Amino acid sequence: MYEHIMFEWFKLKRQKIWLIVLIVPLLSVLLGYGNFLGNYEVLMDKADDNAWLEAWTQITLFYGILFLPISSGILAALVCRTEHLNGGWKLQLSLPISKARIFISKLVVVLSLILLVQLSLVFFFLIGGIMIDIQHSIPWSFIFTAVFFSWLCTFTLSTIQLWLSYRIKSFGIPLSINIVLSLLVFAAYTNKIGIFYPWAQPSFAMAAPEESAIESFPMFISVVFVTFTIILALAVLKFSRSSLKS
Amino acid sequence: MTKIIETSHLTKKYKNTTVVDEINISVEQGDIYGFLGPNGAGKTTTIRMLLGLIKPTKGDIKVFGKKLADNRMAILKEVGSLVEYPSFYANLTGYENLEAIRRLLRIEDKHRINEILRTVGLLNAKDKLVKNYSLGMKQRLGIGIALLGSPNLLILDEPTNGLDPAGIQEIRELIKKLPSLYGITVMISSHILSEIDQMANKVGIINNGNLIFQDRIEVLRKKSSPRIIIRVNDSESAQTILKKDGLNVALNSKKELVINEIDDDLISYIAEKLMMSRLSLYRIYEEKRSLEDIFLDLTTNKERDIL
Ligand SMILES: Nc1ncnc2c1ncn2[C@@H]1O[C@H](COP(=O)(O)OP(=O)(O)OP(=O)(O)O)[C@@H](O)[C@H]1O
Ligand SMILES: [Mg+2]
Repeated sequence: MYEHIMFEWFKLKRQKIWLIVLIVPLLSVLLGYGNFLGNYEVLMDKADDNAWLEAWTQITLFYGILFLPISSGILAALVCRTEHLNGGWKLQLSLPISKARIFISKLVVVLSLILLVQLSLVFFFLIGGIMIDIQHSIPWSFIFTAVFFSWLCTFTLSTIQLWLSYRIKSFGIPLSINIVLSLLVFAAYTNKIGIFYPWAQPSFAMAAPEESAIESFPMFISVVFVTFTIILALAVLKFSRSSLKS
Repeated sequence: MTKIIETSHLTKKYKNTTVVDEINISVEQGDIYGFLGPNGAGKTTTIRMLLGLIKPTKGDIKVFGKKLADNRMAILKEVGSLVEYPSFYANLTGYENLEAIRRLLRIEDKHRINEILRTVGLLNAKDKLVKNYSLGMKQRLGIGIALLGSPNLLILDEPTNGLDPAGIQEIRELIKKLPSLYGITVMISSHILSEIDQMANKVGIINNGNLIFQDRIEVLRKKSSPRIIIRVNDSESAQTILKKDGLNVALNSKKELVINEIDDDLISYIAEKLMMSRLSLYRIYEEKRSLEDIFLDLTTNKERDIL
């Protein structure tokens, strides 16, 4: 399995992946702090408000709902692009690798890249907060829990996106589908079954404690885990059974 | 002889059209098997099935004596292939393409890459991005990738596509060496018989999804030996007369008699016989046919009876 994952990494050379890893978090942080500073009085209305948490909420508004699902979609499309372009699927499928491994290796690479995006978000978040001179203590444990769990929440999402990118040769179509489905997250917020919606799950997991839409955290994690298991099993099965399109 | 590839009733249908129709391919250890057919005959489709890239509608495939359906991974470990267009990663250099696959296949020997690059004549271009390769260079890289894992069976679908004459020559010489040097069995598809003729020892000809010929290349060459054509006023009765004498006579599309022998005495005997039967003899001539003529005849469904 290790060779397969390294093979996927190797193929990303010169694909400008770092652009997504840096630009997306940077943009989210800029927009978030912009919003935070613009509405400072409203957001910091209570005496015990922590500025870090309030700023985080503003940042994840953009990032969790839109930028994260869209970047994971772009990353999924990127790991499939080189395969679509010059017969890469054909090449890989005629090598002695099981199809399940091909799919899972790609998923591992996408998820690792998303983790990098998450860490880069934290990095810019801290830099930004220091630059605007926030005096409150940094809520380390909250931030890392939020980043970690929202990362777990991208697993189902990425699996679906990877499957879409495999089936659809173009780069644009899965991306558009993805944007539309990301916009539906707003609807998921007003609905009880919203926590089952893979595009909404990451933003639920990122929300600051008092803003959270999650009633029971263990329940939420079980839902995430169960959806991921089902979706992954389906995707791997479909991928393994699919014939190569010409 | 051990069978390396064996298919039985291999069939592929797309919707209602049968693209490959009940073919039984047989390739033996050390063969260079030329798989011939005009455009759209079903060569690529067959090769895709042999590699498990698409599933047959019907029929069985055995490679190295094992069923492909149950042993795909084990079989693919020993197969190198190039299907239709060369596959590669355009964002990597030629060297990196081979390096990526070397790691994936866990080939320990790093020198293998330069060895392959030298074999396919890409050593000077190894650090160029493949997106800047010419068509022929990409084709060479594709062949290199197929050879990288030291396969026991090499399946090449039109490998000389896009190569210049020197390149074609090089690849041909390379392929010819493979069975004797490394014991590799080769299946190579093409739509040019003369190209196959220079390397293959066995030929399969596919047309409209049907395997219409499969035998040693000598058998095909024999068909191209010269024959005698006779034009008379009434070819049907001439044919009946000669057949009574136990002679094997066929008619071609121009209603001429065709005799697959050129023995002088026999021809003069036939001429005499026809004249005695009061038939008018217009012409007697020897026809020399190239392998390419034979191939065209076979695949355009004319004159099938003569062959
Ligand atoms: N996915 C598909 N769906 C429908 N028909 C197909 C498909 N793939 C191939 N065919 C048809 O199958 C036939 C055989 O195609 P194939 O590619 O096997 O021919 P070929 O012998 O390799 O030809 P060429 O010399 O042009 O490469 C063609 O008529 C083609 O249109
Ligand atoms: Mg073809």
